[in-house]
Amino acid sequence: MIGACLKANTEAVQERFAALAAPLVWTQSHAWILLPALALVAGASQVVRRTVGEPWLWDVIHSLLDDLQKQAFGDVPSEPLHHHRATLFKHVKWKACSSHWPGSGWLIPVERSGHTARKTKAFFHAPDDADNAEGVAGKTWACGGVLFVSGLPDPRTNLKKKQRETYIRETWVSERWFERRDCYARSFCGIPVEARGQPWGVIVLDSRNEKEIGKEAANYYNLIAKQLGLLLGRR
Amino acid sequence: MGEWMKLDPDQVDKGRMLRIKGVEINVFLSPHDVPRHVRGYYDDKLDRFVIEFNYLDDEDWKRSSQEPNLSLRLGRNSQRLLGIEANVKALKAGAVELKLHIEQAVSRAIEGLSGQFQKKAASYEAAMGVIEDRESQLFEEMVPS
Repeated sequence: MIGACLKANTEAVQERFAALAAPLVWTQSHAWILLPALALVAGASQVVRRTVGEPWLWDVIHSLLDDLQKQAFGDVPSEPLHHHRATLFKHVKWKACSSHWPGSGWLIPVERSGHTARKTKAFFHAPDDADNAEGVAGKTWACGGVLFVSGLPDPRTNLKKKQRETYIRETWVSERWFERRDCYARSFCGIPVEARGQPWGVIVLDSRNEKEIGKEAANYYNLIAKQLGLLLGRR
Repeated sequence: MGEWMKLDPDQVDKGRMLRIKGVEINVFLSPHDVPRHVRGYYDDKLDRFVIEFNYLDDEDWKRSSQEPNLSLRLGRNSQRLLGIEANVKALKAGAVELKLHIEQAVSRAIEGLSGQFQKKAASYEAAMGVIEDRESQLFEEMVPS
């Protein structure tokens, strides 16, 4: 289209479509800056698309997380499904943060099951050293295995000091982290996620129910692991 | 070629207790690291006895030679133990001796793991457990028929 604009005869356009003449002249006289700028925009959008991934890909990943949530928690009909969630975290090297060295490894949320409460700002420090990893997500990353935490006190109630300490200790978060975020979950299951044979991130299943999320719930991950790995590997 | 034998993931991986920052938890292998199937057969082309493991993901492998007559097939990206090739003729080994050779090679492979891949040690041990449990069926075709 730009090529056609540059080649167009302005006098002929002026005669037949007077309204288009002015923009055409402007395009032709600014072609020297327009062309490089358009090339730059096209290049940048390719980079963004490659980094973020295509929208359809995230729709499929979301539906896989929905399946996992339903399979893992679907047998509790008395409770709303959004009280039990599956969140996919991606491991990244760098993240702006004041509490730790930004380049030490982080887990950031990229997708969550369900259609409500999908937005989360919870991210975790996740170096390879298990002692310094934060949260169930960070420990799952550092251990490279599936782990379960259950029987936690209800964080929505007015926790006593001891209960609060128990929650913080057993979920491996800091006091500051706990204070700054809305915590609801009373049981967790962390599952490592791989793409192309390499660690990619983790999935954290969390529930407001204090009962342990059974190993069979984690086994449902096996049903989606292959597809998820292929999709994440495409990015 | 030997038939794939289906493995029960709950039997292969019974979990291990870890104490992380004062909290004791049971940690299980990553689902990607649990062998799902295993088979043993004599490969006439290679002239080797081969044990193969199958996991959730398919992956290309590279050969890692620990000793002249025994090599391991490791996942190209994951370093998972995908197979073992043994020159049983040269080793002049029966099932018992071969198992010992394999154990030594796997131990050396675990020692060689570094960084992220150190977490694979538990997966190697699970694979060794499978060989132990399925020894009689796996070593049936240890020599050329």
